[in-house]
Amino acid sequence: MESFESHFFYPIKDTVLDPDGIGVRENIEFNAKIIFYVKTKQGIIVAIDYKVKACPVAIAVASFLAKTFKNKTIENALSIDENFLNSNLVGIPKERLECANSAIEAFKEALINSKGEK
Amino acid sequence: MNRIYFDNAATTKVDDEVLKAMIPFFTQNYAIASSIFSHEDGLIAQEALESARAFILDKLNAKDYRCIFTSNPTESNNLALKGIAFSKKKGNIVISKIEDLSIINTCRFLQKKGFEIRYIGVNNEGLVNLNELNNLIDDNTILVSIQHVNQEIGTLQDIISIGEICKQKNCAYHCDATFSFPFFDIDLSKYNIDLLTIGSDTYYGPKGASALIAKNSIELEPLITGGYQEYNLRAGTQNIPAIVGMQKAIEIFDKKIYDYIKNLKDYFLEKINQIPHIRINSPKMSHPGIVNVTFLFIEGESLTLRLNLRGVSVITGSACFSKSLEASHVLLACGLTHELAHGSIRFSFGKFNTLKEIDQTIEYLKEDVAFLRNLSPLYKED
Repeated sequence: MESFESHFFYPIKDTVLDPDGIGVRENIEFNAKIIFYVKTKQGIIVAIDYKVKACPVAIAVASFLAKTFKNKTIENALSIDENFLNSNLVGIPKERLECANSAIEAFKEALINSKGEK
Repeated sequence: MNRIYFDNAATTKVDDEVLKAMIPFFTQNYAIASSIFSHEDGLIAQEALESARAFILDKLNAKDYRCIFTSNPTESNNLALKGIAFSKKKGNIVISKIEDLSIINTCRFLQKKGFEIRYIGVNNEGLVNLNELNNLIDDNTILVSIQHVNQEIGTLQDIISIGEICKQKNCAYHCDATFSFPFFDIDLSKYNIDLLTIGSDTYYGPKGASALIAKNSIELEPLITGGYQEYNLRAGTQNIPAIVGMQKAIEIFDKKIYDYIKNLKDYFLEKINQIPHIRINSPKMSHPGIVNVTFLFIEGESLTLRLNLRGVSVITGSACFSKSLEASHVLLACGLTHELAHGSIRFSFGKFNTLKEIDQTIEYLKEDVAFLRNLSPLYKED
């Protein structure tokens, strides 16, 4: 299990300037936004970057995803869900699962888009 | 790690002198006040209780008032609103949109019971519009409830004018002074306030004590029935140690404390300007220790948690993607957008804080705000 607080305070990510895929989730009313940028090569995720203007959960989950799925296959990453997150990242409050899922959705969208562009 | 506590508007550390005054009522004079007719120990408790009551009424220059002790300001506010409503049985109640939730949610409850609730708006500094208030009150208005100091941004309402309007309109005025007393003097012989809520734990007194100061002519229905305590309006054993502590906290609060806290706030306001893209949401005329700041392009909650992990206690109100979590009703009522409301943090200073703590916090803020902005897709560097 990894710590929510650690990922929030020391978020892990790469710098991706020319992404193969971009995924965005936005709450216009609350002005919250998550953007994922992924770089892939032959079905493998080689770099993950993101921008987050949202709560600590969204930041921590983005960092967790970036750490966990770097150098993993796209198919492997696309299979993640809320349960995977709950089993591997400790400390997410229940009422913030929506924020966590928004990060997962943005990440998956970036991966799907990366496949489409190739 | 020595934590830095900047959440004094929520509650404060109990002063040593206050604690010292309370201890004998836990360990020696622990009888309950209603035992007066049965033994000497009860008489000591009764004397302490009545001494505190007389002291508070005197402090407020409240000659024709009762001092009804309750357990906290939420209870005092409930007793004021429900007490009047259940006594009058029908009518409308006027409140501002930025009241504490103990007022707003009690009014929602009363609305379900058939009472009409009228909400008065505020300007961008949180001040109620007195003309609007004048127009909202009619012959069926049984109560106006408008706070003295706002709990989130510190706005100081003109309670003298509000009281005048209520008097002219012949309706009762309840003022929630939880966050203002004893920082600001309240003279009930001059102000037209019929009901006043005061607390204890925001000025170095203990939790567990509060009072509703009610004009003798105001009829109230009790919320708690049982024994005959508190003018038959609040049954139950009085919390003598807390009430004694509340009295002591009022006694030792003076202008020096006010000035010390005000100086901390002024120093913070000067230093916080080192951070770009901020908005001070507290008006100039406000509580000496409350500052509400919006840090643009970031979520207040993320900043609050980073500060917390560094050992600084502050609060925010934000929502992110979760619809169940709403932004501050106070900031939205003041006209802030959701974006600005979500990036807000309340710093509230107290007499145990130091300038050094402010310097340290400003350094943390510089680092954390820059870090979160660097992560934010909404921020573009100048």
